[in-house]
Amino acid sequence: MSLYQPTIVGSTAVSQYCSLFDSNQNPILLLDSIGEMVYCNQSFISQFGETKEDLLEFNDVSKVWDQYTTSIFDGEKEGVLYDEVTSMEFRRLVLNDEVFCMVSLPTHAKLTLLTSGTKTNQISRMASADQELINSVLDNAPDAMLVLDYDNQVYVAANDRAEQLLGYSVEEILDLKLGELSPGLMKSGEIGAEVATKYLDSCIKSGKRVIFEWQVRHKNGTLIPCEISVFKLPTQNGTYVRTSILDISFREDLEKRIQQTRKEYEENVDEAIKSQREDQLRAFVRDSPIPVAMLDSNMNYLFVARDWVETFPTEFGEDIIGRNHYELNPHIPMRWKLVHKAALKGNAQGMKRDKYKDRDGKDAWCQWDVRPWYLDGKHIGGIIIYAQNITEDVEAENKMLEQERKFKHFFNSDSIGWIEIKAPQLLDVIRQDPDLDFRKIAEFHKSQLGTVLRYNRKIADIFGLPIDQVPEEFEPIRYVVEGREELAGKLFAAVRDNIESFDGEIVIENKYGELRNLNVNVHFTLAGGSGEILYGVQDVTDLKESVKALRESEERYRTMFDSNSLGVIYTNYGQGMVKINESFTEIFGYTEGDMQTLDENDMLLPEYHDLNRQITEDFRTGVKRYISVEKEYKRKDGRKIIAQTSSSALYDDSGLHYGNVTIIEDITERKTAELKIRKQNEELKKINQELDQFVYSAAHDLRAPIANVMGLVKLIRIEEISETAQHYLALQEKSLAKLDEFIKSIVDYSRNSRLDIAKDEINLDEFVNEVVDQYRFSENAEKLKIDIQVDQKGKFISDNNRLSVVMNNLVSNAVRYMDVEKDDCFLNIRVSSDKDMAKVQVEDNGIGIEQEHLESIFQLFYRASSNSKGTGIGLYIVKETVDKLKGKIDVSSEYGKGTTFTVTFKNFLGVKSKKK
Amino acid sequence: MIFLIDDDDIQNLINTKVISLVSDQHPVKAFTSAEMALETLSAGEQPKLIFLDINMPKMNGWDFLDVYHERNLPIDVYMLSSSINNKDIEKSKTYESVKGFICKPLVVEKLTEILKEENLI
Repeated sequence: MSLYQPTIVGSTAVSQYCSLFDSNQNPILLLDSIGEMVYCNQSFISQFGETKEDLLEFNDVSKVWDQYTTSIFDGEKEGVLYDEVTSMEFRRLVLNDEVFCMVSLPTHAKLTLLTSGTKTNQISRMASADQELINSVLDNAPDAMLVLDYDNQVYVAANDRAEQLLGYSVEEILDLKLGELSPGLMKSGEIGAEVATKYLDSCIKSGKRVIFEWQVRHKNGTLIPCEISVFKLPTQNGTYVRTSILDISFREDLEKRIQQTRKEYEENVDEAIKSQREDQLRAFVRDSPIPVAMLDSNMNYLFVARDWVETFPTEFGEDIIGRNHYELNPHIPMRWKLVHKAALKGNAQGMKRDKYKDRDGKDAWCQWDVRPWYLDGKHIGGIIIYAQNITEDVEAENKMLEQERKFKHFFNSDSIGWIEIKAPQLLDVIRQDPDLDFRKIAEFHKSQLGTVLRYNRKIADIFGLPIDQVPEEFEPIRYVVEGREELAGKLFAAVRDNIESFDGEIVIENKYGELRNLNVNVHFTLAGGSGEILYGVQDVTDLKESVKALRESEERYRTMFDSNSLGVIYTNYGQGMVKINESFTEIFGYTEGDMQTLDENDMLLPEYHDLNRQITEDFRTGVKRYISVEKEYKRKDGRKIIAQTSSSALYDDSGLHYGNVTIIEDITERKTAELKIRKQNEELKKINQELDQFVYSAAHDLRAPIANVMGLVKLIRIEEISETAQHYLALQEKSLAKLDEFIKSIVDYSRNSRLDIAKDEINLDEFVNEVVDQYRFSENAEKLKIDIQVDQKGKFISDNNRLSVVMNNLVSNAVRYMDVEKDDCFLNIRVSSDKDMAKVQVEDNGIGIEQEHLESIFQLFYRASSNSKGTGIGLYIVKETVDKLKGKIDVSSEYGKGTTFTVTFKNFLGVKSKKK
Repeated sequence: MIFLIDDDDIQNLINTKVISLVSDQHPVKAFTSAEMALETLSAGEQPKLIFLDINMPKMNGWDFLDVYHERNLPIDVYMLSSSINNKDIEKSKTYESVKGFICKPLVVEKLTEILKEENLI
């Protein structure tokens, strides 16, 4: 139970002592020193029976009973023994020098739950922490409550209120199939089970409490309209849903009754009025089953229904005919008088619910309707008042709403504490003296602030109450160090103005001397107040501090906390508190609940522990306040992840390092991809090198035999051979030359496409001359007048090999395609360079290129004619190479007149080489 | 005397013929291995010129040049190779005694130019 039992030790008379337990909610027994029951309280009688044997029917109880009671009586064990299986508590008491054993039991339902076979199995599936959580949920519920094991789709716990509401015993509920409580087709036309599933799923998905209206099927088949509230419990293992069922049939009945009554009345009245017959009216009014009164224009009673005098009794009893309505009811408010006046002028009015003070000055509610009646169909003879007293209904409804609110208040979250205080004197003091200065309440009426009836476990935590604190002796007001006056002021105003609840903020200093910030929500448990005040208390100290910390750590953290993809973990060493955001859960699979027993180190791979220690040390000493580093973690499911983490140290005002905020980005995928690419790159590089080596050797090995054959051909041609042989050999030589060039071109192409751009410093003058020199001995070269002009301004950096591939091709083309018919064959090479680029112009007066081919000359294997001397690869390589060097090539040509190639190369001066 | 160092017999045959076509003043001695050429040089024979191939089994052209340089031999060397790799050309330039790099085949015109340069004709 969440309520602490007062431990009373001393020599009080047994009977006197026992009477203290009479109204205790827990079943309690007292055994004398020979183990016989000498007392049991009301709760035990109503739940178990009148003898000890009723209890011993539970196997689990009888198994341990003797063992515990013997231990208590043997005197070896002082104080309290607690049995974990049955939740029974055995306490040694000495009263009048006699030893007694007091046994506190859980409720019958809970004991059944704890000890029944299959249920025990189900329960044992849960972690004990979870079980405790579920039990406390049940214990605290003022309403029917079930706990659903969502994964296995069975109920694993239910309280006695659920028994009452559903007609099933707890055992039966636990054996129920999920659908058996469903209503089938609901009034709204929806399928009950589907509605429930929808809300249940949304609850589990969102982790938030979901409330919906439903109908629940009673064991006898009737459908009970109800409000269902589902909430996913913060259990360690499995998914458990707390389902509370609030019976709202009462609400519906009330509504229906009011509507029905009103309808009947309206039908009858209308008819009566329409008929305009006084006798009919009189008969209607007199026999009316509802309170109706017919009055003349002076507000004197003409006829009243029997119910009227019962509902609105006066000193004259039934003898009120002819008497004045206002004289009999001096409390009638002015607004009603105005309504009567309006009715006398022909305006009917009605109100479904109106609050007023009855003759005794108490709050009362009625539903009323006031309309005129006509003497002769034209003149208003007076009014008819229908007024049903609905005070009971309203109060019942209020009470129900109050229960609802109380319920919601209690169980909204596990973090809310509550205190119930009975303070009739306080309320009286305030009521008697409406002008009372609220400070007086705080200062002079401390004793009248009331007695604590009960409080829950959370309150004990917040206030640091000892386990044996007697509720009556707990005075919360004594702990308040800030906000007492404000709270008292609000309380005062609320009582005066009949406000049912209000909020306040206070600071308390608890028994440990800690200051706690509390948000207090105060309710008067019943409207009008029977003197009970309910304080809902939320400890917001940690919240405030973390907000402060976050604010101090600036916008960055807040945006990161909100961000969708970054996990954030906030650790506060001092308070042993760990907070995480949703993304963290997504990344690691751990929930905030999990994190209460884990910290970052537990998820980190062991090889990073040293690093983390170092970081913590650096933060502590202030060497570093922020660190961004890659770490590897293990997820809840065991999968490894790589994460980029950024940790910031948090310091309090005195500079003490009290915690960290770590932002975690899962970069596993990126990292894996990176590694893969790097590996592939290395492989590719290796393959490239091998290929380069291969192409080089292949070219060499291919060329060597060609060179041999060419040499031999040349030698043969020197010999004296026939002219025909000479001709054949010349053709052979040409073919070999072409083959040789082809091989060279392929090597050039292969190297251009694969190798990185080298950054060589080039002396353009030397470079061009070197290229040209290679062709000086070509066929007909002696006829060609070559003119080279180079204008180099500053350094020129480019890839020497590639540049020479381009120049070689252009020059060899000019030589190959020179027009030998012309007398003045020329080749003009103009080169200029600056810091940005080099421009090379190669102009000849060779055979030229026909316009139609001009566009295509840079295509692979394109040859202008079948007897073209080229391989069709040269200019393609030129274009590819120029592109690689980030240059441009243009050609202009006139067939028969000559060709000009203009090439620009980027100057790589100032461009850093990529290679290390 | 001109030395030809090439493991390819046919090359040696062709190049011997080409040299004789340009000038009859210079007898040619052809070696099919670099070691043999080194031995002959060590024995004191002094050619006017050496044509050296690069790709050869066992001792290749570069190995030959390394030993040649260690011994500070004074004779000019021309590389004569079917390699079209620029790296080879660049590398050859790092040897002081290498005066040129000829891409096979060795033609009469080129040879004439070289012999003129070397004042051998």
